[in-house]
Amino acid sequence: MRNSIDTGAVICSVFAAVALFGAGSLLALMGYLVLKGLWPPMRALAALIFAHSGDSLLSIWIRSLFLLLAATLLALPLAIGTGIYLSEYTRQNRARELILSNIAGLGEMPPVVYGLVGWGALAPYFGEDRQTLVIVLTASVWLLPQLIVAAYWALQEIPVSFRRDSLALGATRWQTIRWTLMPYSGRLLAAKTLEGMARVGGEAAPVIMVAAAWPDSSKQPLHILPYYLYRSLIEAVDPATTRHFGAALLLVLTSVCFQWAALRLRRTGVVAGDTLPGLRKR
Amino acid sequence: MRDSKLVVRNLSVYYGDFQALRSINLSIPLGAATAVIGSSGAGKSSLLRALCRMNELWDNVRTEGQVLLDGQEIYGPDVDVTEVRRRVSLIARHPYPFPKSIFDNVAYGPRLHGIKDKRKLDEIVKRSLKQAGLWNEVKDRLQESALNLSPGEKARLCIARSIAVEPEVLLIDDPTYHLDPVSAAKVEDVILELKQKYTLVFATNSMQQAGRVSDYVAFLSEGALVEFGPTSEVFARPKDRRTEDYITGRFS
Repeated sequence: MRNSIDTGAVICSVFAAVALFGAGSLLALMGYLVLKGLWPPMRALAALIFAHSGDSLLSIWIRSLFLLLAATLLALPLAIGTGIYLSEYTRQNRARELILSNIAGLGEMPPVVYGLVGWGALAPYFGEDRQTLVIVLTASVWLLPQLIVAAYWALQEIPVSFRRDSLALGATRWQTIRWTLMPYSGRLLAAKTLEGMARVGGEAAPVIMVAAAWPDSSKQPLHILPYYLYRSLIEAVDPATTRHFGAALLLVLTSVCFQWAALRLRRTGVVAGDTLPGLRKR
Repeated sequence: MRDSKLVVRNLSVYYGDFQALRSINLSIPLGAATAVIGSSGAGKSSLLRALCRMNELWDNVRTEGQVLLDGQEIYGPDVDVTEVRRRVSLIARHPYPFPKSIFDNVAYGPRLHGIKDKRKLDEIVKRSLKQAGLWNEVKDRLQESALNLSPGEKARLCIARSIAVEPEVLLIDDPTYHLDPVSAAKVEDVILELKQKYTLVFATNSMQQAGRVSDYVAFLSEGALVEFGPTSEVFARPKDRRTEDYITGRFS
């Protein structure tokens, strides 16, 4: 009899260990990066981060955030519109499912595919002088399908009773979307947007591919954080430098912040704690 | 017999291949309460939804026949469906308040229809909540979330939300669905009050409720209208054997 209790306890502790390992490994990674990157030459790194030259870590980080924001702002309105159209104006049938699964598939493509788009289509079209634009467009082409799916599901999460009751009061479909659906899908959409941004912003592959279009370029816009990290590793001018650890730490911290914010938003969503079984949209 | 507010002619409703209503002919009397009774799946909800064009929200629905509101066809090509739904307001089974304050729930409809004046909105909210028998319970906490109300209060709040758009006909699908007897009695009291003012149609599974509240009763079976008439007559002397079996509980 005791045996069964012990088996349960063993299984539980295995799972607990996995959970602790999962949570702990991020902390361990950050600790490692702090030790390698920050602790020994703390001052040198601080100087690097806050240096006034063009490629201090701080300026690269800020540039990365700005480009990411620009890409998101470019993709978001289009994504919200498409999400609303698919969720509220199309019938639930095979065609919609096919379109949705295709868009979702696009969003899940390996990042190098988007690098290929940037390298093959956008870079030759806009030319070397507009590198920033090419980077932003590449990121927003990648974000777009992710955000469409996010907007679609954020709307579908809203109980069908909200739509039904609003229309029954004589609302038009657009009034229902504007007054009832959008306010309550906002949080979930914001959360999913932040998750998409963390993913796209932390990815070096597309930038590496775009950079391949201009192998000899000396321009700065390509220097966004993940690409910078990659360059500082392969160039390895000074192996003793702590820059790449600093850059990696910054990248991890930024990503964690985005994910944390997304989690907070999700937790306070309108449907949380107020679920209506059987009242999802058909 | 009173004048008719809604006239239904040869109304059939299909969901895909399934026929939910079979050529219904019915005249809903003006200023009275009509109960629609029948077992689950008999077509009560489909009938109520068809009276205000809410069935159109389903993807694969097809409606045939006519519904006349004050003599005007509501399925006509030039009809403004939002106006139909404002005039004939449906309170669905298991109505649910929006996750807004009590005030904003009731003001939702009037705001939709363009009323912005705060004083006017205050007045409408107060009147609607009073008619729904909820004013005394909530007057001091109008800005609190409607989700904190009890199920019975929520049901009456949804009635207030519908009254606020000043409909001519109120359709209530199973008004006391999932309510305890005390809350249900309060909702019934409200309906008894409302029938003085509105043309009322409600679907119910409770024969007692139909007997207590309605002036007329329509009995549906398998999508067809079996019998319609004044409640006292239908309950005392049902003309159809199926009606008699149903109201005396002889159906298994």
